[in-house]
Parts: sequence; C-alpha cells; structure tokens
Amino acid sequence: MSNSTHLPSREELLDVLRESVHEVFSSTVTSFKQAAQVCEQGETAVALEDENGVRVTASIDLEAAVAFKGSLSGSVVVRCSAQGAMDIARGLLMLDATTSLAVQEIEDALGECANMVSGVLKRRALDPRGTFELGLPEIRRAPKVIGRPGGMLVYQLSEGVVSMELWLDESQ
Amino acid sequence: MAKVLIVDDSATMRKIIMRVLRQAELKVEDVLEAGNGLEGLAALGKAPDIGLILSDVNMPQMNGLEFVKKVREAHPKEKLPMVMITTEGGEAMIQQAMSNGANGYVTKPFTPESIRTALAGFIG
Repeated sequence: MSNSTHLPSREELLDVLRESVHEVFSSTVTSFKQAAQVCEQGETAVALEDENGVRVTASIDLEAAVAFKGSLSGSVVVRCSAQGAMDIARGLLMLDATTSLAVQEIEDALGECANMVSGVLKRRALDPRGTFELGLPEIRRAPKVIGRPGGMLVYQLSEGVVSMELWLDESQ
Repeated sequence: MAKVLIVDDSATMRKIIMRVLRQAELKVEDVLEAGNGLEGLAALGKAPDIGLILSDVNMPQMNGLEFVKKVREAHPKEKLPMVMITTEGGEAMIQQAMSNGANGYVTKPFTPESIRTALAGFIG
C-alpha cells in the first residue's frame, strides 16, 4: 500500500485495523481475543458470541474517536463497555486488576488507545507519504454515528468488551 | 543523571513514559511534565537544567514540531537532546521533526527496550 495513488479498500483497511489493534493491545492489554460480532456497527450495544457460542451483549458506555483527514477521511473509534474501558486503562498504565481509577484517568487512557491505534493505522495503511492528518482524541459518553460504517472488530478483554471501529465521512 | 521533561497532552502517556523510563533503568534524576509545547517552553524556562526532552507531536495549542523549533532557538541540539515519542511515525513527519531539530524519535506503542535504545546515547 505504498503507492500514493492507491487508496485501501474497506477490506484492506479492516485488515490493517486488525493488525494495528493487535500491535497496540499486545504491548498494553493483558488479555484480548477477537470475537464474532452479532450486531451492526452503530448500535448502542455490542453483541458477540464467545468461544462456546454463547451470546454476550455489552452496552457502550464510553467511546474515544480520532479523526483522520486526507485522500480518505473518517474516524477510528474505540467503543467500550465500562469494564472494557477499565481493562484498557489498567493495561496501558500497567496496573493490576484491583487498582481503581478515576473517570478522567479512564477517559484519557481510552483516548490514548484510540490515538495509538489510529497512529499505527495511519503509518501502515494511509500515510506512506505523510499526507494524512490525525485529530486529537475526542471522548464521548454516548455512542454517536459519525458518517458511514467502515467496519468493526469486537474483542473480549479480561472482563469487558471493546469494539474497534472505522467510520468514513459521508462523502467518501 | 539527567532531569527529563515529558511533553504530552495525555496524562496517561506521561505516566506510561515515566514508568518505562524506570523499567529501562536509565539514569533519570527527576521528571517534569507538560501538557503541550507552550507548557513545555514554560517548564524549560523555569528549569534550565533539564537535560533531555521527550515530546509528543500531536498536541493542542503548540504541537511537538513547533515546540522543537522554538526550543532550538535557544538550545542547540548538542546541549539539549530532544526525542519525539509519537504515534505519527510517517516518513514526512519524521523528516520534519529532525529538520526542526529533534535528535531522534520513538513510535508508540513502545517497549522499555525501544525506549532504552532510543535514549541510550543521551542518558546512560
């Protein structure tokens, strides 16, 4: 994907999103496993099937979005259950499962997670020539539809759930 | 032993960097924090004995690229090393940071080993 005239397809973007999430989670989150989602992107809850085929539903309590702008524009969005956000924050801060965190710490950590995933995505898929711009992380306590769905990957963490999503601007 | 200034708009990232500096067993005397380039310049004004700056790139108010440029107006590269720690590891951004006066860069996510390698020449 190093040719500047080639824009990645949705499938290529999702593949790179998967690689990006794995790169970030491998060094930060203690336990993560991609799960089969049984829901649509943009719903207010994430439903997945665990390895035993049991359906699990988790509400989306917090999301962090980082916009990217260039020949392709949209956002990388990390959407979590409250427990998922806590898992991510503890992982990033290298804290054990019993350490409690302030809401601000959790939100900041989720923003940094979105920042790192979008940074890796930019490096790997979007930006071989440095023409894409990334925004600052935006934290929201309620899910927001921000364009058209570009794909989602759902992960089970130690205790919570996280959905890593791509949203593309309507004009794309 | 060096006094280190960490400039990043994420408090989480500043904590991670501090922890990793300890894990990497680098000779760090003290760590100061700033949330963007403007705060970084203010911190540097108050503590001129800072011996190393680690800075993010994408920050509000004054980003890391402008920050490096401003610091270099008064502090040459050889006297005050600056290492960018950023998710934005694109070639153009790296070139820009280096031409503005950065001494090196590390991409996030990082490990204690990659931090140790990047900073070894500046603090032992």
